[in-house]
Amino acid sequence: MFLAFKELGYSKLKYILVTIILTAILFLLFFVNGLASGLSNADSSSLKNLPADYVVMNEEAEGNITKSQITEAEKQMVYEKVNHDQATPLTITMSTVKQDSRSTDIVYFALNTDRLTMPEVIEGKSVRAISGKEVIVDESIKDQGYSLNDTLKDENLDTEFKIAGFFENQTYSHLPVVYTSLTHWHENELTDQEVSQAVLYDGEKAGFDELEALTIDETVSAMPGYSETQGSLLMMITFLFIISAFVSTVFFYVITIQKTNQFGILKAIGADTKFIAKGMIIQVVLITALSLGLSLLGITGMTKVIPAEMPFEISISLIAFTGALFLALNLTGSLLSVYRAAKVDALEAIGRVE
Amino acid sequence: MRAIMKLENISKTFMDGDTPVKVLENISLEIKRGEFVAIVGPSGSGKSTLLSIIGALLTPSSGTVKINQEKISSYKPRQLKKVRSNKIGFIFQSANLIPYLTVKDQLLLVADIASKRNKQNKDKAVRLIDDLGLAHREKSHVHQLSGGEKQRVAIARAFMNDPEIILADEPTASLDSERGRQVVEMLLKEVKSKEKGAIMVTHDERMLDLCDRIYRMEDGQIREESMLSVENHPEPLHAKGGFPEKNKTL
Repeated sequence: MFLAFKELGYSKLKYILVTIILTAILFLLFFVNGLASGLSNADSSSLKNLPADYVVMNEEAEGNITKSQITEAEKQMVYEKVNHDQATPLTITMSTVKQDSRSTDIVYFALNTDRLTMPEVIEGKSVRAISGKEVIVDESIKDQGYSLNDTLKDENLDTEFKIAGFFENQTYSHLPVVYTSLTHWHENELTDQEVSQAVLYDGEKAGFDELEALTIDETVSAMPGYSETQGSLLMMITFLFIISAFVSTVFFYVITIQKTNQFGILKAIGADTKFIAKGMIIQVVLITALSLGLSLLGITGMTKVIPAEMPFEISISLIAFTGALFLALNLTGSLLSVYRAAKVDALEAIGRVE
Repeated sequence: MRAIMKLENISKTFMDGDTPVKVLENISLEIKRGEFVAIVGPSGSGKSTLLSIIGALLTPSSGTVKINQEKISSYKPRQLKKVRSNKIGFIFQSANLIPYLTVKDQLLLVADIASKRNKQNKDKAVRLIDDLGLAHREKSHVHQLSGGEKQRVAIARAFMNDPEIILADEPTASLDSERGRQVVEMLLKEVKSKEKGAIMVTHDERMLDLCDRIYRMEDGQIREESMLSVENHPEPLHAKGGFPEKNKTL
């Protein structure tokens, strides 16, 4: 213990350099992690938070909800198999709303808002309570200058909606999602009565002819580009982990080789491998913990300065998981050095084995 | 006086490829409390192997090694480690100090290894440093010390665990004759005042007049030499090329 600290104090530069490298890698690791989860959320949070167990689409859509089309006849077929009260058709329409010549792209999710357990609102009326022109919008639209009771003017549909409330984590392809009453859309012929994109329902998985019931997770990963984006980010994260483990392993291994003679002396004067290993592990843990702390400081500082639109999200559980994995990998790597130290013979201290 | 260390019929065989090489043959010697013994001999005579066996770094192929009646020749590596930590003080050829520790910490490390780091040992370290005239160097790092000082720290470290036996492997090899002699004199003084047994392996025959007894090794065999021959031929090995090559000044 005392040996480990004395060495850190004496060879400051060496250990400061490796701490900086590990801090930089960890910073990048947290950043890419935060970006991955931020992007995933911006892309698909509305699908992740769909108020149902299953999403029924037609088979040709291959899970891509915007491509799917369910006819009235097919809807009735689904309704025969599932509980009518726990199901709703979902019509997705992308459009643009205007306010003072400023346009905002949005995505309408038109559904029967009195069915299923609708998402919680953070402001205004609940989803179930809306009627007519009233809609609930993702709070990210506030960044465009909208607030409660404002009007959404849609020139494409030639109609207006009134913001009755806000909910959070309801974006699709980085666009705010608007929950609106399908009945209102049908009454005003805003959409084709015969066709919707999907049927949502709560309950058991069921099989349908030419239709496919997907879970929420399956729906999310079938989103175009979703798996590709997340896959490449995951690959970056994995490689950063591997690189960090290698950097620290090689660093400590090289230092161990340099110290072979010292370990010989230590063993000759009665130290065992455990004594030496303890010192090494203390050093690894200390340097890893220090790098973790510094990179977290960096990340916290960074979240203060990045623009709000930037899809970046980092949670305590993500930090804890990343930190623990990082420490575990570095410790595993240090076993190589421990193994090397274990093989050092006390006779090396004598300097010449006859 | 009773023998503090006793070797009886020690033999050691190493494998050189497929052929066994007998490095030590029937070596017997003993050291009494307060005795300072030198082992001399040319390279390859088996001195280091003998020192390793006495120092509990190696076990002999046959024969017995006893420290204070405790038979260590059949010990397992774990037990040998304990013997080294508690009964033996090493002084290596080139001091072999730990570069990143101060003089005082070099000594405390010994206590740390034996898990006996306490006030008592701290005082002891300070006393030993003082004894060896290093009081002003207590907080110095190894690179700030001269060769003679390093070797004195190594001596202090060897006494730190209060060992029965001090083993010195060419302690003067990297010193000039004056500093070398000072170091050996200090070692001698500590051995006498603390009543330890000491064995010094050396090429440097100029130091032999300080020793109580001399063993000469050749081809794995040992014989005791009369002190008289040393007195008469103070520098007999020079001509044979046995003089230490490294003769750095301080």
